[in-house]
Amino acid sequence: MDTLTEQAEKPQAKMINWFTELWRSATRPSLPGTIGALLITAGLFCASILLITPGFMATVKPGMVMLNQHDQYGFLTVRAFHLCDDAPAVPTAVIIGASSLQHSIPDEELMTRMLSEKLGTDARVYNMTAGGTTPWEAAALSDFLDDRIEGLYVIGVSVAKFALPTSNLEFLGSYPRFGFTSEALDAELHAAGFAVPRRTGVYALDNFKFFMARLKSLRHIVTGPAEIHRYSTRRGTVPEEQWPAHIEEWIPFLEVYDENKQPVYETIERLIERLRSGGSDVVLLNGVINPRMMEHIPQEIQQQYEQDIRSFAEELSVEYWDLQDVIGFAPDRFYDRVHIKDPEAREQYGDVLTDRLAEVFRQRSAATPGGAS
Amino acid sequence: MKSARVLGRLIQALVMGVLLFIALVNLIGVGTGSTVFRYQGF
Repeated sequence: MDTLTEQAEKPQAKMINWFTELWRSATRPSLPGTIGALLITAGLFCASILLITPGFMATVKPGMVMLNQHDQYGFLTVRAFHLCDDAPAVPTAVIIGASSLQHSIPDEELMTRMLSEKLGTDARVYNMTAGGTTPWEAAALSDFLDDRIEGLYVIGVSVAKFALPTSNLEFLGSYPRFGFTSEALDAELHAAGFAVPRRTGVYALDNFKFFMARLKSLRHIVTGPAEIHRYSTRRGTVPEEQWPAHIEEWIPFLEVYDENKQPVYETIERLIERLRSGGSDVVLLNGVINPRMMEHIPQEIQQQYEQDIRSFAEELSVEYWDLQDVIGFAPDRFYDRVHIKDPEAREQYGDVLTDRLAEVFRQRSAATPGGAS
Repeated sequence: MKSARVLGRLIQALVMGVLLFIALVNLIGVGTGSTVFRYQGF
């Protein structure tokens, strides 16, 4: 009997000893373990550089890279790679602008459907808007897309964007929001006399800040990709009692329009020239402003901007559209100063915008032998 | 016993290596000011 028990216990004891040794060697500091850890760290860095390439960005879902549902620049970056990789050769409109424009237009599918119906052929509208897009980022994004998408670029403009100081450009040179480099942005930095970041030509290294800020997006491997929220605002509808302060806080940004406008107009001029040289057309689309806000913008700024932008568009022979003038949205259609909250208003805006886009495409088609888009 | 020792060190290297990688990436990220800007966050 004793012999039988001993025989049964032997393999059990052996296994306990094996696991004890495993635990001991895994938890005690050791030279081989440390060297192995360093090698694995170095390997992970190398793997990241080899894995994160433009080719990877063109295939990964945007939601896997986005930090969260509000990460619009993460979304646009991946989207830009997707479009460059697989853009159909049909009449294409690319809308680039800030949150005012983003909240003005309905979703991309509806815009595409509207334009296709009006043209009577397959067409595409790509909504590449993001909150706070600066004119320099518009230049970078349009330059990036222009290599692959020849069509109509709708560039959102507004008095507030022309009033931005070039210090914003300097900031973007050091802390880019897009995960791609652009010769156009580097040229803008150079023209403004700011340092151009050193480029290695290795995608992951040149854009490491974009990815390092999104390390937490690795959780999407388990939780699934994030979904973009295009129509969320920071504070929702501004309560009545907050309106005076809401109006007041914007005025100082607009008052520097005359002081800051020149370099921004030059940036937009170079953007237009670049897109035209690639065979695309450009439309400048003025952002909507709540009439309640318009009443408080100093008249001289409004008039000066109106005069400047119209003569700028005329000089460069580009279309300039101000659809707020055409549609005339009432104040209750807005969340705040510039963001439309009403889906019906968005649809109305989209309808008028696609009417105009269809007209430009018809003109392009008539002017091009063979009717190319 | 040798297999337990080798496997133990391998686990140690793997866990420490991944943690070191995450720590370094975070450190470089903080050091270079990498952040996700929302709206006009600058």
